[in-house]
Amino acid sequence: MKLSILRILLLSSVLILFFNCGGGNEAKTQTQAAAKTVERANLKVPAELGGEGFEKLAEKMGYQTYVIQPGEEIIFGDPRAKKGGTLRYIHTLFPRTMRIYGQNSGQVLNRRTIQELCYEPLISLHPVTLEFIPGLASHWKISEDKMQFWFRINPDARWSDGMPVTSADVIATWDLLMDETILEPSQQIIYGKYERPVAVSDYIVSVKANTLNWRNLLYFGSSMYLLPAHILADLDGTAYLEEYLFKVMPGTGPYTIHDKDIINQESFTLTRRDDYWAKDDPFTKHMFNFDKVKVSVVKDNDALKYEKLKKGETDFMEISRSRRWVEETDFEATQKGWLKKQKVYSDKPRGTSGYFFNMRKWPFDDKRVRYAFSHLYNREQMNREMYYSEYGMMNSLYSGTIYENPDNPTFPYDPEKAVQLLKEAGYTKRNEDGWLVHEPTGRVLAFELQLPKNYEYMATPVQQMLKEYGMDMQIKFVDYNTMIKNVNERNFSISMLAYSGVSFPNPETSLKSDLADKNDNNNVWGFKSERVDDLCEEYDIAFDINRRAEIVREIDGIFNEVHPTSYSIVRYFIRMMWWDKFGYPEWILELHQGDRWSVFKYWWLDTEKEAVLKQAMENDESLPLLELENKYWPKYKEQLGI
Amino acid sequence: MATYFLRRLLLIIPTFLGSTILVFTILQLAPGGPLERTIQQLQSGGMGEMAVEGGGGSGSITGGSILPESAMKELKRFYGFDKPIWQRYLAWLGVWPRGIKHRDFSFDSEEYQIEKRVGKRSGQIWRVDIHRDGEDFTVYEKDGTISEVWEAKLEEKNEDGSIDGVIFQTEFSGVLTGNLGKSYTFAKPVTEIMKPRFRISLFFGLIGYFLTYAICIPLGIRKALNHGSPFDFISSVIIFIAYSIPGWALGGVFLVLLGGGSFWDIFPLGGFHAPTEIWEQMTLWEKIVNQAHHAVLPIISWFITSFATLTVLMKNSLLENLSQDYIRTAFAKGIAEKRVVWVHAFRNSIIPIASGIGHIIAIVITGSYLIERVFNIDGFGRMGFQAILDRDYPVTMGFLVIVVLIRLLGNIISDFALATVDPRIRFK
Amino acid sequence: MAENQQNLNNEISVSIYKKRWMKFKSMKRGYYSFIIIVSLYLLSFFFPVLINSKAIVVSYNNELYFPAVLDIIPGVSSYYPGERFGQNIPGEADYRKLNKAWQEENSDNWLLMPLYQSDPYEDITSENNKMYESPSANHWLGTDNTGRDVFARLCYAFNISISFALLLTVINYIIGISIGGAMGYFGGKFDLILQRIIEVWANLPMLFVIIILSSILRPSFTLLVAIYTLINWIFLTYYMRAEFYREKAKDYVAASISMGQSNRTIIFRHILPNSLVPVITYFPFSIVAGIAALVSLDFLGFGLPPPTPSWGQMLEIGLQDINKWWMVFSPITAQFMTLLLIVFVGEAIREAFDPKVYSRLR
Repeated sequence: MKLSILRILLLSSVLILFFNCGGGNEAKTQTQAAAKTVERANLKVPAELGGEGFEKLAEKMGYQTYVIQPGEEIIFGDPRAKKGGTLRYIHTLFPRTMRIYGQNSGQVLNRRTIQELCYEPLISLHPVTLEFIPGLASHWKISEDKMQFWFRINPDARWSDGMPVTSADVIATWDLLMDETILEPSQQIIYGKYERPVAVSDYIVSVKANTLNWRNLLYFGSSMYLLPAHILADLDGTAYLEEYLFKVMPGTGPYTIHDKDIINQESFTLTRRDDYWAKDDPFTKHMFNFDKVKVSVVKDNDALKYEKLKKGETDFMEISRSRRWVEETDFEATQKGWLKKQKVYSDKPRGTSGYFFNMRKWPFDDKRVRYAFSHLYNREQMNREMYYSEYGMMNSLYSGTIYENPDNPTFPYDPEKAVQLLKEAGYTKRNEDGWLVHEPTGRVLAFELQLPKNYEYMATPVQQMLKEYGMDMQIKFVDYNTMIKNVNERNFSISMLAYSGVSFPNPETSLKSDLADKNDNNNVWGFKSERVDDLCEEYDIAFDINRRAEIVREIDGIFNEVHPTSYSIVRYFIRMMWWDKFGYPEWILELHQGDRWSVFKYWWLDTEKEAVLKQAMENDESLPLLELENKYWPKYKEQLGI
Repeated sequence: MATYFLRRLLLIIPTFLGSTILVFTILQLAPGGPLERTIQQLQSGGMGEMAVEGGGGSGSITGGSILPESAMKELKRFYGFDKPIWQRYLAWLGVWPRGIKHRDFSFDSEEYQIEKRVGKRSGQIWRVDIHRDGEDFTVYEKDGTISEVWEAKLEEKNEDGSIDGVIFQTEFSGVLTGNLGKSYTFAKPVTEIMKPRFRISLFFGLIGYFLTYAICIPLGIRKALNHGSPFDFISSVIIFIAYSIPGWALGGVFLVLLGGGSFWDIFPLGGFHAPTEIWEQMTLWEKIVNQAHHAVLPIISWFITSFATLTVLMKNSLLENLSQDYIRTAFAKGIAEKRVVWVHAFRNSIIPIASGIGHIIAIVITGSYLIERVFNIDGFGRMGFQAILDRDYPVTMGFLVIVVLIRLLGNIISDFALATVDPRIRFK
Repeated sequence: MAENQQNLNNEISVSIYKKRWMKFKSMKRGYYSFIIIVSLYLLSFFFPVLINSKAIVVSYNNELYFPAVLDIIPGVSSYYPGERFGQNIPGEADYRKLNKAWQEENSDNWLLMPLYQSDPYEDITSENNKMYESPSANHWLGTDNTGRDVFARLCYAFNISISFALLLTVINYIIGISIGGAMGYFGGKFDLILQRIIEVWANLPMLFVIIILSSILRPSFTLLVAIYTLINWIFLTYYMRAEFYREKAKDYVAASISMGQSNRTIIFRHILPNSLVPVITYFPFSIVAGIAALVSLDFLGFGLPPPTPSWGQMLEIGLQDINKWWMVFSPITAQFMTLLLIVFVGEAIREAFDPKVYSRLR
């Protein structure tokens, strides 16, 4: 027993040495890589160290895993799915780099296509329950004190160049993320909370966290997408930034991107790999169905994008503005059912949007003025008159999730109450221009809203509403960067902002008291509350999701009472349009990440439908229409009684 | 004359320096530079999309985080903001050493030698030794020689006696060495970004420019010769209607009407040519047809407004010359009308047009942001505008260098054109 | 002696301008265009009493109030709270409701509403306005994306646009002609140095300057005129300089110089009138360019602060949805009509200023 461990350690150290000596020209590297493949594939690792037969010992050793429960197979892809075909998608930006880490890699497109389709993390999250499910690691273990984690890497896992995935890859990826020269400081913030991972064997890797936090396993396990050690060994941070700027490193994921398919600023194409290691894995068998996924770019020109959908140059599109959905989606192709449209409801976190007050400064340092603003901000009317009643009213930082405090007051339009509150705050008289004046100081109730031009239509009606009751909101157009700079320097009275929603709320990054007096963070309001600070601390070590939800709900309630934000509207669905040639699971989009990116993973090209569509278009025949709304998820949750 | 133009060429130098200094300074004043953008990216948890009606952008697992002081320092150094502005300008010019490949190290109070990994050299990990003598550092290679490329300097003395330093290389690289730096947004050399875009704008610019002249000059002459006729009136109305419609607006209408999405399928929906993978399969003839097919709408939209100015300028200028004494004399001498108009009057009438040539060239080449945006063409104008909005200083400066040079050369061309058409003008 | 000379000059110039005016008047198309555009512009200052949701005259308890009239005078408030007229609403009086109520009650109080009872600011928050209404008797040119009356906005924007363009052009012309002329006339070192300064100046990325300024200051009418003047005077100098170079080489200038006339006399009395052709040709275009500059500034979002009516903002909204044809049609037509009138005026001015009697010789 002891001997074999020694042998393995020896062997791996030799290998590591061997990798470190790599480099030189490409051909040489390739032959070396091939040689290494053979050597590593031949590794015999005993079962108790993660080798073959580990599955039987796992439970005894304290490891856990997840197997698909009866009845939930459909959540991991539809069994009707067939492989093949091309999916065409148009995005508004070309990636600034094809890397998944390092400077400029933090764009949505990078995360949702390149990262999620070409690479994999150790473990993933169950699409419905958010429990951990296997990824590259088949099993994982948590120590008693919840500070240390072990992952057992699936011996079947392979890089696209044929190399097996080992502990070395985890360590190398962590090393890269901790290298400050990759110019992505957020990675060092996240992964600096762990000690350097240690290889127990080729297939078992362990990592220790520095502080107790329920997120530790989540971040290390499911948001660190692995890169191959045998390639990283030849790179430091700077070299990684430069060499892989527009080149894709071998990954373990179902897709890869060939160099010739990257046409800068125009398009890139993902190609499905036939040798994907998990292609028969029950979790991924029916996912990743398109042979090719082509992402083209149309910059800042939504109208052109929509024309391209209508012409059939792209396969599907998400419609964000209510006006287009209500007024412009009624034409031949949609009437005849060639181009389908549907509102898909999901639990995607909606984020927070509205008017954010600067509570450090007059006039919004007075709670009564903030309340009055909310009572004068007639969002119901705007929803009715401008947004075709498409939206709901937002009343929480965590709208539409389990973290929303159901007891939050709704702040309906109530001018009388607003006038009363303003009177109490000292705004009793109006001056000759009709603006309210603060009686004790003589100050006129006027403040400036800085805004990028394209939001004008959302703000001018509010300006009119406030004007009627004597609040002078002056709008000033600035470009987006200027606006954010002024907000970050707390150089504003009120600002129209939106925070994106996250699946696991992070209240401390925006609500902690010690951030209130500092610039450049998400506590833009200057929000301070001792109770919230305590709750944030408790939240970090609350391993029970129900307790966490309770904590966040309490925070939400406190926040809403202080009222640093006058919430606007919320949308509970995604408006999708697509040409009727695809097959898709009944639920169309995922529950928690329910947005257009689900199409890449779960949809497939249905050749029969494609033929029917072609014939229908040639003969000018109609196809059956879809219901306008898809409420699979709301109903699903109702059945389960959530 | 030759010396005059030679001198004009030399005078480009002070203007060039003046413009770049001015703009370089202004850039630093603009709110929201690359540092702020990085901070903001961190805050929003790395989300690049702006919010739309009814909620925030996409969700992610990791929320926003807060930038620590040390990371801020790293970023400042990367963007060169740790140096005074004049040094940055000189480094941009390429006459001041630029520090690159910075790496931090630190000495404990009693430590005098450390080893530092500084990257890779020919596939091997490159380590150097740093020796400390008080607050001075010397960098030694592993073979014991003093390093030729690495330098080290003091960053900060801590209270506990430890010392933080930074090791770096220096190089002279700037405009004068042909290096315009690296784009913040694309992380690629600016020249590499500008080249393809410049070609695209040049293509549209030159074709449109010649077409405009080919149409406007004859039209202006015809209008002058038929001054006051119905033809004059109707053509005036048409070109003024054209002038009142912004080109980009017209482009947008064109795409909806003729792009095939909603009404007639006559022209492609934007783009410079067919998608590259198809384009590469085409024969030369197909390529020409495809390119022309894609170019029709953008060119019309691009030059529709310049039609009016040029035509009217040509008309009025010719009218003025036709009433001059020398024309009267020419007619009196019995010279044929054609000859009088085309040889005598025409030559003098294009003087005001000639003097504008340089300026127009500059406008043509710098492209048009809005039209490029409407037609989804990656041109020079869009690059420049986007660079300004993105606070991509190297690209903005690179754009400026090209524009300044073209404009300055354009002015010289204007004067040259002036001297050629009007022999009475003497430049001394 | 000097005074006599001055008087003589004045007499001559008066008669010359009179002659030119007579000539201008004789050109019907230009003359009528001139009358139309000038009267429209003058009229536009009185739009507050023609197009407004406020009453022109209110007689309440035997006292007279003139809210709409007060709107004409800049800087004077026309705010009357509803309570003043016995209306039980917070804030400003609703004159339309007041009118209706008094008529129904047969009360002694009365008020006089303007002809067109919409103002450019009322949006969906007001009962009479809905988003994207097509043209009707209530809203002659329909409403925009927040329900504001397009006709009212078009009219108010006309005044702002023309004022902006006029002011801009006049200032540009004064600066551009004098500097460009001086450069062409004096030449040499003076020309050389000024040209360098102009070149440096012309290369400033204006968008940046505007972004920086608008982050410090609040864009206002005067600020925008100032910013645009900073760049626009340059273009004129190119033409003026070229013209002066050309004219200077002519015999009559040589003659004047040999007669010992002062530089000022030569520049303003001899060369300038002869080199005005391109300048005057450009005048209407410069006005239109001024309008277009405001349009594009508004389009890019660095123009006048909202909710100021502007053609650029209207056009931008119109283009977002071309199906709302009235939103595209209105600003483009307005711009076209303005342009056409100004160009006709420009043509007539040019001919009137031509010292030679224009005649075609065959």
